[in-house]
Amino acid sequence: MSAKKTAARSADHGRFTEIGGVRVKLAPAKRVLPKAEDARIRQAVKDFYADKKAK
Amino acid sequence: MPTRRPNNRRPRVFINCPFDDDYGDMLRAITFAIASCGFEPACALDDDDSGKIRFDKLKALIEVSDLSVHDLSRIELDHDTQTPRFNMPFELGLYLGAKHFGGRRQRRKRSLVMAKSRREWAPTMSDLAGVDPSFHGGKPDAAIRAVRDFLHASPQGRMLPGETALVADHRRFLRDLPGMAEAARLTQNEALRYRNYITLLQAFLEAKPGS
Repeated sequence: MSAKKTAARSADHGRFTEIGGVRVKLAPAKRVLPKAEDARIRQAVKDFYADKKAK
Repeated sequence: MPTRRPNNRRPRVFINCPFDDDYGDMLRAITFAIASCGFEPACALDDDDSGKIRFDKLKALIEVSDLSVHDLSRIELDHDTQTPRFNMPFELGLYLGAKHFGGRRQRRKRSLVMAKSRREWAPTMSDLAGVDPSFHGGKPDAAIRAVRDFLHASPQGRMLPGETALVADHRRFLRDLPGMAEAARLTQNEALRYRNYITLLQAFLEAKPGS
């Protein structure tokens, strides 16, 4: 892979949020709960916003 | 087999504040501001291993945190014991000690000191004369503003969201929290517990539609 492609990919990599029109790259995910519980809560929040969007 | 080394270069912000219920709204607001600006909030509540000595946990957290937020607004006398709370000034001293006596990375540490009001601050810590704390008046919105201004730029050096947008997003998060908790089959009290709250907050920031 060319250096240019690698750079483009790493720039896109990560988790982002948008607040007041400003895109913020979030810190790497931090897991403070057991893995299964962490995944369950994260999925529930995703579903919550997917439902909200669908309504 | 080689063991994986812990990631020591995360943009961590050490939070030194009370952990009681009365301070809950403030702690959650500070945590929200840190995470929303792209940093990782770090405090003694991250780790529930009661087998670890608290001082060892603090040393480890302070060592890897390049930034810190210290709220000295609640060092009043304890109701039952009639003695002041020493934890927050002690942790600030430990952090400043690491900065002044540590290696090159430690010397780059930066701190935000917060207090409730100028009237309460002045007579409390004469050793910190010359330090200019931010006064939040016990208001979460003011704490968000102080943290945002302290962080100044994202870890990548980019612009941060404005304080008005951050406060509005915090309100939106609090409004959506009961729904998220219900979806995750958590009670309101469970959702407000620090480690559940951090997980919900991270998931919110990733999943919410852009504002």
